[in-house]
Amino acid sequence: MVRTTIDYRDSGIAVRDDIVASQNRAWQSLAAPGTWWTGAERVAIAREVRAALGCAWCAERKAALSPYAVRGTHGAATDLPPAAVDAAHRVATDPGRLSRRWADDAIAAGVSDAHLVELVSVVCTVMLIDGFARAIGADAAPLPAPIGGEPSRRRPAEAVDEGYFVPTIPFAVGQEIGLYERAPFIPNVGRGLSLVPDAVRSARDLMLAHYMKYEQVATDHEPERRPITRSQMELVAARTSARNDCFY
Amino acid sequence: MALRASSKKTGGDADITAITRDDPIDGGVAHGALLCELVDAVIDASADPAPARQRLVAAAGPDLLVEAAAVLGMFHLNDRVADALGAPLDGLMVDYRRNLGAKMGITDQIEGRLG
Repeated sequence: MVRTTIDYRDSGIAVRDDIVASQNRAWQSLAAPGTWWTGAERVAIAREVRAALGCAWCAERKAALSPYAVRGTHGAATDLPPAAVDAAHRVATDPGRLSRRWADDAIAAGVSDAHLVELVSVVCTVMLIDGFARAIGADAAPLPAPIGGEPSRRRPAEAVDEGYFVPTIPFAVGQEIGLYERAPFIPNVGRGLSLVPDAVRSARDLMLAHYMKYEQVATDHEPERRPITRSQMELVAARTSARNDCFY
Repeated sequence: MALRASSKKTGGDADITAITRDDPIDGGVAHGALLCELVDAVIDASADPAPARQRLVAAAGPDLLVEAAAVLGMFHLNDRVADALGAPLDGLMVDYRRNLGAKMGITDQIEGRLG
């Protein structure tokens, strides 16, 4: 099977090999059957992320005082269930106003909590890779061809209510089962996807190449052999979060 | 927190208002204003990031562009995971948020979000 790979050589910008490699692993994983969605459904979610950026209703809601104040329909690009389309569009275009009500509504509309976590993982992967390409001036990578097969449908028994919108695997438990790094501290965001453990592994792989290990976030770690200082990294990170209206 | 701490470690004193100012400033960080301009242009879907990208490359070279793009991309992911799945604020970040709110004159808004 021919798989679409990410390659920035035509952009004229030299990109670190580990960045390209991690993005390709994520891209290939995106095309494969996940834990709850098929490969075709995962690629369809990715397609909705790109459609969301040109969705008139998303733009109207983003500009409204409340996202619930404007009625309409999404400019959907796939035949995914409406609740999944809405979730993908909202996460892509208006993340700062997502709430427990939003998550509960999505789950009540038929996207299970585990499906929602995996959907968020796919949306975020596409946003990362497309955002990177846009920043360096490269074309967005063609979406990969879906790989056949069935989702594994394995729900971790260790996941419990810890105050997130969805169940998560506690820090100590996740370390015992080898899901989290052995470290005194990992930020809560590093455990958000743990209802779908493969999503945690994928995010951790991307973190290492693009930023640093989760365990290094709250330390004075200075990147070695990278032409950027920690202060510059933190300014970009904080500015990005501010522009995404992210309180976390 | 990490911006200020990392700046102090290298003998600087970053101005954390650089994070949210509409008019980008360096804020004590090398090429800070250019990095902020790049972030703004990439996140604004109606903007063309090319001018900001070119200014950054002209001043600091393409390697810094790549590193900035990597961090930007990563926080597109982290921000959405946190917001979509309701990641609770880490305990060590609460005081930082309060101090940041006080410095920026938005104490009420910060307290409202902290609940």
